[in-house]
Amino acid sequence: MPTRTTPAHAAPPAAAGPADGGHGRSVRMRGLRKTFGSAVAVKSLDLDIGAGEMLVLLGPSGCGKTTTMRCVVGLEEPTEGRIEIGGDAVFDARTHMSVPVHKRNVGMVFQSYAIWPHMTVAENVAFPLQMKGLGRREIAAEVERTLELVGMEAFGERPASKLSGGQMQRVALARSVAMRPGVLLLDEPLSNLDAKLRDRLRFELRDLQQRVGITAIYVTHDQSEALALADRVAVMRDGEIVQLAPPLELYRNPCNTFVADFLGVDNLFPVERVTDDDGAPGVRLTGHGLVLRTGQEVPAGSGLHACIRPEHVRVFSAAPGGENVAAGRVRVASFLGSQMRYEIDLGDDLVVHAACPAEDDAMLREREAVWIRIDPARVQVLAEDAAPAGDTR
Amino acid sequence: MSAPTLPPEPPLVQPEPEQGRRPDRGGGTTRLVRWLPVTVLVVLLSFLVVLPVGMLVYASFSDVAPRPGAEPSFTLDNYRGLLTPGVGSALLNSVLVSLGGTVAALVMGGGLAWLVTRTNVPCKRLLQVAGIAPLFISSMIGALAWALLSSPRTGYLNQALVALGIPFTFNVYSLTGMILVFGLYYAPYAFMFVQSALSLMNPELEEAGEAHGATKVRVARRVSFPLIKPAVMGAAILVFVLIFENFPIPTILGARERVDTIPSQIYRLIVSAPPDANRAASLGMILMAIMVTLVYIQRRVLAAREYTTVSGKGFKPRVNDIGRWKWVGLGAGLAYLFLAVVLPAFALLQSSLRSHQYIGSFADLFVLSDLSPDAFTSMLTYGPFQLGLRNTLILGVLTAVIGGLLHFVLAYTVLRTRSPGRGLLEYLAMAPVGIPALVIGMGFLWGWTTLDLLPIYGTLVILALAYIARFMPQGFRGVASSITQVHPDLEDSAIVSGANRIRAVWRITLPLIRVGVVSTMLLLFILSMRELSTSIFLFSAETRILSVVIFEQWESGRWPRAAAISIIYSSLLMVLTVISRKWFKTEG
Repeated sequence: MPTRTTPAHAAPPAAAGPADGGHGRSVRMRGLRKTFGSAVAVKSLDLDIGAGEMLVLLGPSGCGKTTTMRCVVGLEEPTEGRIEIGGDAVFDARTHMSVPVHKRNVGMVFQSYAIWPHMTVAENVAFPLQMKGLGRREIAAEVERTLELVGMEAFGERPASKLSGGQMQRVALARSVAMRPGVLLLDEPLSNLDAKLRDRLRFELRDLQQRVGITAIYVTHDQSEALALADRVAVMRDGEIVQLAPPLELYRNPCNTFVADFLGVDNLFPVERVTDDDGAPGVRLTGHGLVLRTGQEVPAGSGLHACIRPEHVRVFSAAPGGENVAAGRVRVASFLGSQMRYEIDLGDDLVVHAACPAEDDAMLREREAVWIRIDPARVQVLAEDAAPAGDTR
Repeated sequence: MSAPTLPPEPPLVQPEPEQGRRPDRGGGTTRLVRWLPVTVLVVLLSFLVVLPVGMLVYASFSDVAPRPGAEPSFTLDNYRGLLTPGVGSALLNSVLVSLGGTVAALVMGGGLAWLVTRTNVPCKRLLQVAGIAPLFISSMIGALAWALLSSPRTGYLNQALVALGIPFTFNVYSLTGMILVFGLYYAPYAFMFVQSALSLMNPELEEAGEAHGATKVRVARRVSFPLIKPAVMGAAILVFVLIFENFPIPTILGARERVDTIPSQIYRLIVSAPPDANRAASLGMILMAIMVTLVYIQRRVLAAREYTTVSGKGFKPRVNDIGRWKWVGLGAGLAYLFLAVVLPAFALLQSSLRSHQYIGSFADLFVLSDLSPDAFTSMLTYGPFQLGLRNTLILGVLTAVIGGLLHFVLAYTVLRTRSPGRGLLEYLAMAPVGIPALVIGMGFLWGWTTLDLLPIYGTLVILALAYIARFMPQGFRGVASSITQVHPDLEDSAIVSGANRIRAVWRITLPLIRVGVVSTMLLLFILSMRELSTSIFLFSAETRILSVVIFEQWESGRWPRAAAISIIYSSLLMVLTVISRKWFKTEG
């Protein structure tokens, strides 16, 4: 599968393709725009997804992520733009061409699973194969193989209406994998499951995608799901991609406060730049006297925020030495199993969130006087609406 | 289906169906493909809805009856002719009867619904049946039976009063009589609507009221009643409209004392010699104007209902212990069943079994030697009956099959496509709610005889089309509500799996809504079998139907025969409904 990438657009990682030559195809969107009446769902989207890559579209509801996905499968018709799958155009607004949904060979797992309740599990999985016109025996073999892949081989004859949520999820996945789609779309497939099952299926999903070597677009508003599953994450807001990066990079270097906030950074404080006597970079928390030194230069721009992950806030019961130390009082202490979470009141309505490994014997109690210290290298200062560095969009 | 026998007639009180995501099916479709189905449907519905109404408007401003070759000129005389004391009193009577009938129906039906749904009244299943059973008895047969029971001197009930020495006569040939009969036979509608409103209410809303310190009585007053008030109001207006346009009851019960209503006057203007079609048309316009206004108000009332059914899910409603009052409730429910079903059935049976209708005293009713099954046995050779039975069944099937298909295509287009003009389609499909049945009959008569497009006048086809038009709101709503219960993703996922749209509908959507569609078709079948008001202007010698045959027997005073056919006809309706209900139970 030749993967054409344009240097101008963030290219997918080269290593994403599977080793065993899967059937995943690349996807390319150019100038994709979708409006519903006067509402703009997707503004002008350029996106490349490599063959065999798992791309997660992450964003709050209404950011256009589901619309983008439905444009790829053809359930929505874009207002403008062009979509290619495996190098072949499936939609082009300029030439009024649009491949019908049922001929795009794009699989989709719906948020509601959309398992047909009047059929058995096997009949559900067989449906796309019947539509392809495969022979009876071939279909039976393929259904069995696919059900095995998702661990549902024992349920083939069961009526689909008598399945649990997790089982329906697996059947939905099997059904869309069975058709060997060029691209697999997953629309918040885990959101209707309970937390434990969600965690387990997340692993299974990633494993399956890697084994089958399928190209996948995964839509979610859950940041931990996005980070766990993706080769790359595209964070979306108001119909635009705010940042497109591999999970680790995204986690370490959110490009602005929106991304940081969405990725679950609890400590986001409005700040203004200060220059220290010795010229070291620093910020003062707006409405609070606290000055924090920062590792790097403070960027220019308005709406600056200091952005500190809770696990980077160290808590002491006696005053420690070093930079960026402040005294406070524990307001809330909550035990989360693997870690302790604290809300520490620094006075003047400033509350800092801290996370410490729970094995620490020194568990703090509420109302206790404490000190916090933040490594200057861990203080990120972000502008409100900055685009990621090096982004050429 | 919550109602065990007939699915509730849902045209107005159901909330707008939830508008699911409409998949964009623009992919590859040309403009022709997009417009063609809608255009065909709009043309079809225009013949069903716009044509009869248009003919009515036309006739009401014209000086000659619409017929081929007529040369009409414009006139307002038909409307001027309405300014007579006769029309005034008919209008007043219509309003009085409808108001009284609505109140009576709500008290009986609504009260019974509350007892069955929200109290610990004994024999709930029986009372549930009692709430709906009178639907088997069409309003015409109810009126006939009560005429037998309560005509001033010879009525069986009045005879019984004499026998008991009670110096009181209940004359059913009066406004009060009509109100009672209307109340009895429209109570099932109130029952179904109130029951669905009560069972859709989340009991947690009431429990929250109690948890926050309100007594049961205050919860009822501050929480429960305000929540179901819009539904009850909506049901009240609907029942009012149904009574307002009803023609058999005032015709049968008003004839003797000349108590006219607007519908009975329209009927007389058409069948009098010479007929006055143009004045009938202008009177029909008045009737329709009032109905449209009421339906509009009802829609506004129901728009406020959205908060009532916080969720469409069925809850197990809270049951209140009403103590010893539950026996009073049971008594009231049984009394209703007695008045609406048992007594009328007894009266019809009595009448059908005696060749001489006159009885000297109440005791004569039980002289077995006076009774003979001649009226029934004569049916075996009575041509009009057999023809009527055959036609009725054929029409029921035609209406159900053609209607079911049409309503599915309509509802699917309106709900699941982004076709242009689907708003117009829905509007046209629901329009017959505001069109009196008599008007549909007159409009079809004039339209198809004047335009001479197809030679369907005088055939069963014109009757079937008129029925489809008349029952379109019920049919459309029935199919639409089952379509909305199927998540659009289910069909979308079939298309994503490689099926084209027609295959996806055939393999996924249709099987999933099969039960809903078939039960809507059964509803259409049963509604068609009960039809009289539209047919009365459209039947011919060859296309008589059972209800018309009964009506004719009554007009010519042949009581035993009218009663015998009524019994056969109602039993047939009941058997069909019970069978279909059984069938649905096994179907799940």
